[in-house]
Amino acid sequence: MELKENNFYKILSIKNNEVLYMNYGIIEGVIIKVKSISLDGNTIYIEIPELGRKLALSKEVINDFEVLELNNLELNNINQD
Amino acid sequence: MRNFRLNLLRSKENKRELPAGCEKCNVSNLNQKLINYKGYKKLRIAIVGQPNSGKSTFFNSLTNFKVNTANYAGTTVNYHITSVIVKNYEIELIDLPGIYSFGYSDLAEKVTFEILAKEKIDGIIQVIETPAFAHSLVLTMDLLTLDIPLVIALNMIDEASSKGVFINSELLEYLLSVPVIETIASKGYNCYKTVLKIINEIEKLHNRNFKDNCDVNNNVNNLVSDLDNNLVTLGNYVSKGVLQVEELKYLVKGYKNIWRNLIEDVFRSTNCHIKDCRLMPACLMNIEKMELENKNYLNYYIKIRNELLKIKSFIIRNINDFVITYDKPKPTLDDILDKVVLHNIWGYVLLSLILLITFGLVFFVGNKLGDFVESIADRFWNLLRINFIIDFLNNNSLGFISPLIRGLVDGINGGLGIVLPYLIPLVLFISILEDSGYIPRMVYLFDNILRKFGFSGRSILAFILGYGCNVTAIMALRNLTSFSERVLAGIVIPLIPCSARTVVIMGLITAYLGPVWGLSMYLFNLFILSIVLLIIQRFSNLKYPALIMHIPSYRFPILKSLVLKTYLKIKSFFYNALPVLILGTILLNYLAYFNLQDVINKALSLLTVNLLNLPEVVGLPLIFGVLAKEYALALLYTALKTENVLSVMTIPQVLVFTVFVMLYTPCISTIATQIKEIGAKYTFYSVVLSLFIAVFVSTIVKFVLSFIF
Repeated sequence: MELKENNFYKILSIKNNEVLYMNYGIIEGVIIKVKSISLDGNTIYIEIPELGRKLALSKEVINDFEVLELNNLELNNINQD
Repeated sequence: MRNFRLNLLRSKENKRELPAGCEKCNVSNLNQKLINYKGYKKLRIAIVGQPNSGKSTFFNSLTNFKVNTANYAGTTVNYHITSVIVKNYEIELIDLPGIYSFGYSDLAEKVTFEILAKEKIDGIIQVIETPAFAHSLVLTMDLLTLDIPLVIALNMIDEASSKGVFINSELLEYLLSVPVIETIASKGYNCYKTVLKIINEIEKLHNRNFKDNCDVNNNVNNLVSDLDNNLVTLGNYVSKGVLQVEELKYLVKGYKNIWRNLIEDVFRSTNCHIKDCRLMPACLMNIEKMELENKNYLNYYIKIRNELLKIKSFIIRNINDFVITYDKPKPTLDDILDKVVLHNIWGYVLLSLILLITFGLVFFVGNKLGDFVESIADRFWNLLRINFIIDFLNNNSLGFISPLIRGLVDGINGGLGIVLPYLIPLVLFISILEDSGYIPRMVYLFDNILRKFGFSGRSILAFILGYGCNVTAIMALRNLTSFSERVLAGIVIPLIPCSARTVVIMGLITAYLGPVWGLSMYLFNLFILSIVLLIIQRFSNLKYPALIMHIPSYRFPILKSLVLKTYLKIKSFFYNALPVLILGTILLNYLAYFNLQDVINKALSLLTVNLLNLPEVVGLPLIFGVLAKEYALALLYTALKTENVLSVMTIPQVLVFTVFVMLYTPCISTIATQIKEIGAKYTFYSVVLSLFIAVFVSTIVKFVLSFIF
């Protein structure tokens, strides 16, 4: 899936390296915000708002996740929860 | 956030005569376990935490020890040990490299993992970066499974408050059943209290009645003997979604016990090299990396591990919900700064500016400082009437002493007047970049550039550190997860001009030809490095290792930390480099005195004179340059018998000499570190490669310059 800057995504599942990604706070169900994408689109700067943690990732890492783009309504519902 | 106030009932400490211990439980009496030494009982306490949580700062504040610190993950790649006396204990404190969880991924984390597994550890202090508390419990949950007394230090509590992150430490203490103390390691706040607390916990453990302890353990084992059933029980809690405090506390306890129950099970079916390892349950985290005798177990354990990871995530989320309160979210200064610093255009403009300013300031400050030190040194030697003494010795048949004095004076002049003035500002500016949190941002900016060479942005940490010291840079390779990336970076890092080679560039090129030429040398070096990396990438087919890296918050560099880091580097120069520099200069003077200098220079003349068109006398300085690169410059002055190099050498010769020094064989310390980190075989390749590149590039430079000058 093509990620876009300033959009929120929910990690639906992790295909590989669950232990490694958990070390960085990426687990199933967590929501990430894409803060910045490099010019060539290969490096992504994300934030995990729930943990207040920021990460630099390459697109190969993102390929290990099944993600769902959240629209404003879904995001508001999650925030209210 | 659910408000929750606790009234904790504290039982009185049970003081009774201790039994000798219990063989069944393999637990010994405290008085037997501790070694009496000069009246003190010995304890070993490990300081553990996730990367960049402030462990080394905590360690420094407790011990007055001076360990390097910085604002990025992976500053400490090896452990440090020192002893402190607290109460009637001699405590061996170990500052371990950061580890995210027992599911380690790089060599620095593995160091921590193996020390916790193999060494006798009496207690653990987990240092938590409180502003990023929400993620820190990933490690806490693993440490709980060790069954070693644990105290949690909520570090940087001041920074957390300023960022609107508040932790209910009393509730956290209740849920985890371990003491929690708020600390500010940079100010030494509550660090000593944390040590007192861990001592208290260790004493409490050993004051237990061992017979009772044995029965309790057996009961626990019976309780959790059926692994699958217990997983289902814990899973039922997870499916409830939201828990009450008491339920959560029970779940934490159940999680801890289920790991302990796995010890024997995993041990039976694995072929682990660590005998009697207390981390066996944690090895389940790395089950894919272990050699299983029965492969059928693998899928079973992976299934259990993944179930446990789900329970762990659930516990962590629930604890976070209970104990953390956030202020209203607002755009932080970090967010605003990152918009510029990580911008696809402005980010690189800023990066270039920062590098240019650093270079300019090193040159400017280095020159001023050099002139100042030189004038003081001249006055000092005049005061001692050194020239008069040397003349006196030569005229009274004591000429054999004069090389000693001359060498001593030249060595001190070279070290303090030439090397140190450039070293101080360079180390200081690199420290500012390290402490501010800018270097991890460089990882992001460089990732897409380095990817073309098969490296991830993470390796830029080592490359940047290489400009300070190649040894530190090669040590930092432990943070890389891919073996091939680590080895190839280890081979090419010696091509990066370290502070010692910067001294040569500044002292020869910038001083005589101007700053533009000096800067060009760095750009030229980058060009050569890129070509070499491309060729290596072409032949090795290095696969790009995916990048994942924590980006820390910005911090204003603290003067105390900057001074400390600069002091450590300068101290290392005074202790390691300066004595050898003085000895080298004395030796050079004696070689000249006995006319042996010419023999060595003649032997090297094929390279220096015939190939590179340099004066024959530069041979010996080049040999000494292998000890440390700055000697090449300091001893060049001695060999040429003048500090006005341009009066003896032409501009092309100065340029060729500098290019050769910039690229040839790494110094002895770097070679030793390479052997340790990447092995003797790859170190040999590195030495041969750098020598070949130095000869090849210098020859081409000589050839090209012959058309210009």
